[in-house]
Amino acid sequence: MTVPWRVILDKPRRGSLNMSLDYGMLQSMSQRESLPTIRIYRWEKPAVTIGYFQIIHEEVYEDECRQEGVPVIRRISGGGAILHEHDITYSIAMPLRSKTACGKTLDSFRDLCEPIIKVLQEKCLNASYKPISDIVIGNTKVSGCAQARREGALLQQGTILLDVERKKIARYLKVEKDASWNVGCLKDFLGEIVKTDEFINELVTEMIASFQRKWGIDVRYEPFSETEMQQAYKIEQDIFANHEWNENRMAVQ
Amino acid sequence: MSLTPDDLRYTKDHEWVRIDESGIAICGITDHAQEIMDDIIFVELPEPGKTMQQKDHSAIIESEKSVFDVHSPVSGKIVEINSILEETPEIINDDPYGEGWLFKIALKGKGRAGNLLDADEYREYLEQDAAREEEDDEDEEEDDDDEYEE
Repeated sequence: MTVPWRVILDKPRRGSLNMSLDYGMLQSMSQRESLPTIRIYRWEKPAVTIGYFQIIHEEVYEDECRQEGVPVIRRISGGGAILHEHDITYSIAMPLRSKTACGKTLDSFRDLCEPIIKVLQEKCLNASYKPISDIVIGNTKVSGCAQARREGALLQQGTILLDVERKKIARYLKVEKDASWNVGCLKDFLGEIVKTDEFINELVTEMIASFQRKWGIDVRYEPFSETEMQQAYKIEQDIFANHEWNENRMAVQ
Repeated sequence: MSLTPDDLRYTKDHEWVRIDESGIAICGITDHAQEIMDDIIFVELPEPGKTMQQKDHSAIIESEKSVFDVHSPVSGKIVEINSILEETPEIINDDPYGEGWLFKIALKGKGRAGNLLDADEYREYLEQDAAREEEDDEDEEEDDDDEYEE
């Protein structure tokens, strides 16, 4: 039996709005106002997102980010700090009672990473899952993700790194404190082609097809509705563009 | 199999409640919940004095890069939080029904505790979930077999 899912191939947006739209997806899923949804998106300009529990000054060089116009946004999901610039970002909202989401957290990460791993393997890349939530090629991390679970719904937010500017990462993120930090990108393995529209469109198409095969789902391609956009703007104002949230982690109501 | 003490009440969101004689409800997450979460690394607890309605968002737990909402299983006012969890959240994994309690609520009236599940009902709920998972596994295997035959 196939279950219809919604796929949103979204346009690049500012960081706070990207996070707001993802949060709206989680809310809609929890209130059963939406089909399960896969969203693929990118970033208008560089932005840093941090995990829900992170302490911003421990993870980010705030002055540098501020001076260079790089917003720092606290996610609703867990995990660590990420510089978004040359990545394909995906988010998935699904019911907690689904087979993938209802078991152990580690199993759900493995399950949700699997379709992406298969796509990379089909490009002759030695991709595999590395617990807790990474996709690696060999020993190099090229994708990470994190989750938020509330009100009967799961939201997974993940990135696939097409390219990384390591000097920029080191300028904005306090990565030196993590000795195991070793992030790579698809460009390291496939070259500049990964930044072409042709490659990106093909990758996204293959990702959606891989998710379809994984869960036996039919998909319908839709943009966000006007109502969803208006809700997202409100969420952005209240939360993800709110200094108090990003700095001090207000409880989300 | 997850532990499910008989003397507690439960929610379908995997919270537990122990109500003492003075009408104080001690609340936490179940053994099943902590098993799903794996290693808990952060806990955010509600502010003492805060009024909660049943099912209100009350606490947040992070484990394994996943953030979980905890709901208030009853209605009332937060009177105490388990502050040691902020430094040692792993206690929830080790002892979810004892030292891993999250917060205490002074019930408002009966606090809507009457609609909570007893231990047998909660165990049955968990078994139904497990049975549904097995059915999904079998459906998936059948689909795979059909694909092979084609």
